[in-house]
Amino acid sequence: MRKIAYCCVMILLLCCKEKYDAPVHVPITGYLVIEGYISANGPAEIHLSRSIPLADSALLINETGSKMQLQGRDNSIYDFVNNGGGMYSINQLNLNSSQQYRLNIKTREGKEYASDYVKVRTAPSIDSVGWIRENGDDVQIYINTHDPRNDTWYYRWTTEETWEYHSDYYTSLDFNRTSDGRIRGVKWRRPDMQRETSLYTCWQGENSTNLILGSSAKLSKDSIHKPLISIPFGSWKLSVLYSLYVKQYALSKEEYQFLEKMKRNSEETGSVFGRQPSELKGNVRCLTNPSEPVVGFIGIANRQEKRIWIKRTDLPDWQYVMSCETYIVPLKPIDSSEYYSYLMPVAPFEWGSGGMISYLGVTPSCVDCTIRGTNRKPTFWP
Amino acid sequence: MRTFRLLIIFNLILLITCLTVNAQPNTKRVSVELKDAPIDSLVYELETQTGYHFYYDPAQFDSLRVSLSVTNVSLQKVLELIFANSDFHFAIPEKQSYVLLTKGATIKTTLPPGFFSGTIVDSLQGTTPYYGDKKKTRTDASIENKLFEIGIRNNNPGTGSVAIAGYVRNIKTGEPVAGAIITLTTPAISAATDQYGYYSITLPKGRHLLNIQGIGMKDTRRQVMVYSTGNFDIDMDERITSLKEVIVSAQKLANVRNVQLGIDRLTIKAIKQVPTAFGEADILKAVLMLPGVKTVGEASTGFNVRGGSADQNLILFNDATIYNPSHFFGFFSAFNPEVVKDVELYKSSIPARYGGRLASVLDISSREGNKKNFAGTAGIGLLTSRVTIEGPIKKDKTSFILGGRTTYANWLLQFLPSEYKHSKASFYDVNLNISHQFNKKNNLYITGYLSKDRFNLNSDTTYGYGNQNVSVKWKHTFSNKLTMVLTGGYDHYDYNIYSDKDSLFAYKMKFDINQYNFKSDFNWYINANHTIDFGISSIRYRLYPGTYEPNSKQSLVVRDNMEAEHALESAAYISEKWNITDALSVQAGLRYSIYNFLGPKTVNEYSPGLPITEDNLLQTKTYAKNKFIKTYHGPEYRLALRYSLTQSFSVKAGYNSLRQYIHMLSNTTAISPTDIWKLSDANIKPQTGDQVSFGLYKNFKSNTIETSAEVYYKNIKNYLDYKSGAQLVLNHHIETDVMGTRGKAYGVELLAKKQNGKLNGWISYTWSRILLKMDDSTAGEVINGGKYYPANYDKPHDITMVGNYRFSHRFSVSMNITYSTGRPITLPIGRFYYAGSWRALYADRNAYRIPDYFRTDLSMNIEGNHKVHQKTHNSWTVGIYNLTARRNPYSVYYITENGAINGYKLSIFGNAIPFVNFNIRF
Repeated sequence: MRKIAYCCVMILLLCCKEKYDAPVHVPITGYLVIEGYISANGPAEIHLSRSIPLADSALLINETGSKMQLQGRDNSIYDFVNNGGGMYSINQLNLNSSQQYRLNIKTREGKEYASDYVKVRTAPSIDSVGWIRENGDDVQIYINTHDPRNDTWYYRWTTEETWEYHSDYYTSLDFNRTSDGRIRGVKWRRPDMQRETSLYTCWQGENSTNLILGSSAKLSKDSIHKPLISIPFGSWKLSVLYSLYVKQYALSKEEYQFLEKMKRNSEETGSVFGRQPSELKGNVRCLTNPSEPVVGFIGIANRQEKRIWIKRTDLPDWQYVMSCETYIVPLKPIDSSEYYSYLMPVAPFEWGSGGMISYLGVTPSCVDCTIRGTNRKPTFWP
Repeated sequence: MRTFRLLIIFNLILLITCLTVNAQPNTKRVSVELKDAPIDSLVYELETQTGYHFYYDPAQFDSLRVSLSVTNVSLQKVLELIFANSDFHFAIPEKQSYVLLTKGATIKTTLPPGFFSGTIVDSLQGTTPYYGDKKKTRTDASIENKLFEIGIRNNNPGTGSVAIAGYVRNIKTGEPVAGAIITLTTPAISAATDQYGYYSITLPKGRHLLNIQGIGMKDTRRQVMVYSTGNFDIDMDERITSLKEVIVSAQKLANVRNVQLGIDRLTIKAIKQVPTAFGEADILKAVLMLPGVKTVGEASTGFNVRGGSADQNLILFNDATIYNPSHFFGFFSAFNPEVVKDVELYKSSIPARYGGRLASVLDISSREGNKKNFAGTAGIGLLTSRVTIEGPIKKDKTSFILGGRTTYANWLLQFLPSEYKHSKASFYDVNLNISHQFNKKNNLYITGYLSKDRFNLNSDTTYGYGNQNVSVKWKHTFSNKLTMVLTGGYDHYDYNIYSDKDSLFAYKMKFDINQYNFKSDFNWYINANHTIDFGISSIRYRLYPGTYEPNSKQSLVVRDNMEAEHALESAAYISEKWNITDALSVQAGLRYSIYNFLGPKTVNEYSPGLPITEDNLLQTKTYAKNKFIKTYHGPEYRLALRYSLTQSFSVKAGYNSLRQYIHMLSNTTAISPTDIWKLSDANIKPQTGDQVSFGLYKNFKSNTIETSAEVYYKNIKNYLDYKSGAQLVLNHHIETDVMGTRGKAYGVELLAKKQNGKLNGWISYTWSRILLKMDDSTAGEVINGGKYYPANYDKPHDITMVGNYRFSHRFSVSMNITYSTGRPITLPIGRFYYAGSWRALYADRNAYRIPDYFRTDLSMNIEGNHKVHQKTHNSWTVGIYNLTARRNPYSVYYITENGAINGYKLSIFGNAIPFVNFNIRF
């Protein structure tokens, strides 16, 4: 009885979610997608791409070869430089905060697009990015921001995480491969028979893929405290050194609503009482064909940035454990090392009169850190 | 079989009175060898051996089994042997070769002394001082033979018609029998009882035989001698042996003879037969099985009638308006099945006394409670339990019924995986009804209803909502022709959301609707051909669209109180039912409603002729308390016509128009606990709708099979749809986020229903469309290029079968089969890359559909023994919901996960769900 009831509740709440691709037949769209930011005092970067059909396996289609300019109501013009790959930029802008500006785009095909005129917004700086231990042991990173002029109210953040991690084993040995690619025994990696350090220290990174939006509009002060990232207990991200780079964008109410709708349409669908998706309208229009949808919202405000560091020593109880399989691999018979090639040779184990008899083999990802990341040190890393 | 199986006892008595006989020992001798034989075997045996004819009612003798072994014994002796010490009797008139068998009463083959002197009218029991049935716990057969005199007796009653009125009651519990039909064959006159069991009928003076039929009651008849106007109460027996019989319509010919179209009536017995997900009888789930009624999905108790949205249904529980009829995410309806008596759904011919909603009226009436004895029921299910007690406060005068229901799903939630571990969900509801009879002319009915829901799905946010309703009704009978019902009540619905995890941002949000209503309804029965209903009603609304406030001392949350909305909705109506000829009847009604949006309120005024947007806000204007800010008014017409081509075939047509002044705003698919209601105001016009319908009704096989076909076309104006990405909660200028759309709905509904017999149930097919259109760019955003687009609940094809097969009186099996087209949804037409992820691109609203819906449910009802007198009666309901385990989609959606778009199909019930329920009556 109890079991049946349990099953009922399981069904009730978890329902049944299955992968599904609706048999939708749609025309090829290829609508213009505009993303980027424009500083009041600083750089501007805009990326142009095209939408593609849902089932199309194509990678991102960048819109290259367009002409782009920022135009003020006072007819001041700032041209963007085409950097290729759909990227357009201006190195340094110094906009007049009492003016209104719009973005004009002319594509290679000759279609013209323009945004609405928008005001230049002043953006408050980030107060702090901090972290606490939550739910027992997870690390929760949050941001604090306030606008002393109580004028911003709507925010968006992006995050860039980077972390250093180490292999569990240094290696000095490598497989000895014949000219036809077969593995025949092992050899030293370096002539001096020392450890290979390039496979020991690596870096990995992750950028935010969700829209992180926040608003203080329902509060008495323009002050915001927003959780950004949660790192589960034992994650490799904090095994050595971790860094988080946060970018903060000040939004107008309309831009915030546009992004919130995009977030609802793409990240918050599917719950039983969920909202239905709806058409997304930004502030950029196609002048050549007014009925053509355009995705994008142009706003002007300085981007604020902040980087924080979390050292392994800040978290004495942090336990990151990688499970490694080890085995003493004999070098005889001749194909033994090929048989055990799923383990990476680390160091000689036993020497005999004829040389090495056996070596220590370990799971490759415990030895070669480049399997999970890169051994090129980021420029900002200490 | 036998040519004279059933002889009406009425005729019998006439026959007997013509004879001067004395029962004497019979000389015919017989030899009989029977074991466990039914009455017809015995009669066959005796008739062939003696040549005598036997007259009896087979229904009365169906429980009799005879085991007998005799040789060469007289017929008299054999019959004495068989019927000794039983409730059965026999009589053999002298010099006649026939035998009369009866149950309960003995037929006297002699006349009382002095019969021919003319002083005694009633041959069996003499005259009675009171015209109605005596208070007994069971009627016996003799009451049907008795002649009741109505009015002041005189030797020459004369001619002409007089009005007779009274109550029809259940003899066992004293509860009124609603929808009972009293008919006279020649001339054809009939009357039905109202919800209080009250009827009024005009009969020609003289002697008549009245037939009385009622839902779940044993058919009965009364012989009356009508002298002048008078009261005549009738007691009816319950049909005890057929606890699970389906009687969907109140009367056998009702569907054909009734003037109105598009009415469905379900008794609680029929509702209890429909298998549901957790085994508990569910009023709204049973209503969903009716033709023309649809739902958007399984986690929803909101329903759509003939293309109407969920808020266009007026849900009345004993005349109290219920705003949220669901519990527990919509898995249970908010009505306790043990308290409900029956449910009527008006889809087309909405009586003029109802108004305020466009699509339908769902009138749920509760039981009054046993007026004679204390009784109760209890039910135990997997997720809910319920209990009711009822009984007299003062015997035969005042009774009460108290019902309660709760869930214990809360403790089960802790067994869920950790991501839902801290979830909580609970609900309860309480019903109390009191009815009191002051005297024959005055009755009082009090209803109280309370429901509360609370849930938290492992988040720091808790949701709660509840209904509170009180209504008081006074029924006064001025005369046999004029009755009045005065109703006053208070209805309340609220919801709240709060979060207190982070004390700096802790908040609490509240929303509530309050309405005080008053109405008076009169029924004036002029004669058999004319009945007039008239009345007035008024509703005072006070609606708090939302308050948002800090929920802790440190909280930075700013209090945001939306201004309350006040309004007064009043209406007057008159409606007449006119039987022009026996074949042609008309019911015509006019309702005039006036709506005043009242102060105090600050109203936003927008530039005329421009779209209602924040940019076009001209000014705000503040109005004082009770000042009329905006008034809307208009007539509503209700017309229905019936023409009978034959006794069992009729054609009906109808037209109605309605107005609705309160709207639910929702951009979710189902009714969600956080949907808000909005009163019409200076910027939001009332919704109006009108419908024409036409129907054919034909009964077959002496009315045991009913069929009907109805066609309708409906226009809707100012139906509120939301703009893309609308913000509906705590919006101080909500008019900028919604828009009035036009709608059209049309469809065909076919129904075949078999009410009686071992196999009963119905099968229906509905084809219907509901399309909306928004093409006025000055009123806001144009949707789908100004073309008609299907509403969320547009499901063209719908087939439903509800069947019940009774293997024996103690065991029956019920089955449902439902199929419908998938509902429309908005699907992405492409994808684009933004903010580090692929995201879906949406265009036209509701341009695609989710896969079709199909479900089969099976349940078995196992009754305990049927002895009438025992401490408790119990029964089990065991079954399987969604027998085929089909994963019916609730929605299809696309979501961005880790940078990529994934499509999913979400089903509420992905498996066959077994259930069991145990019920006790005491």
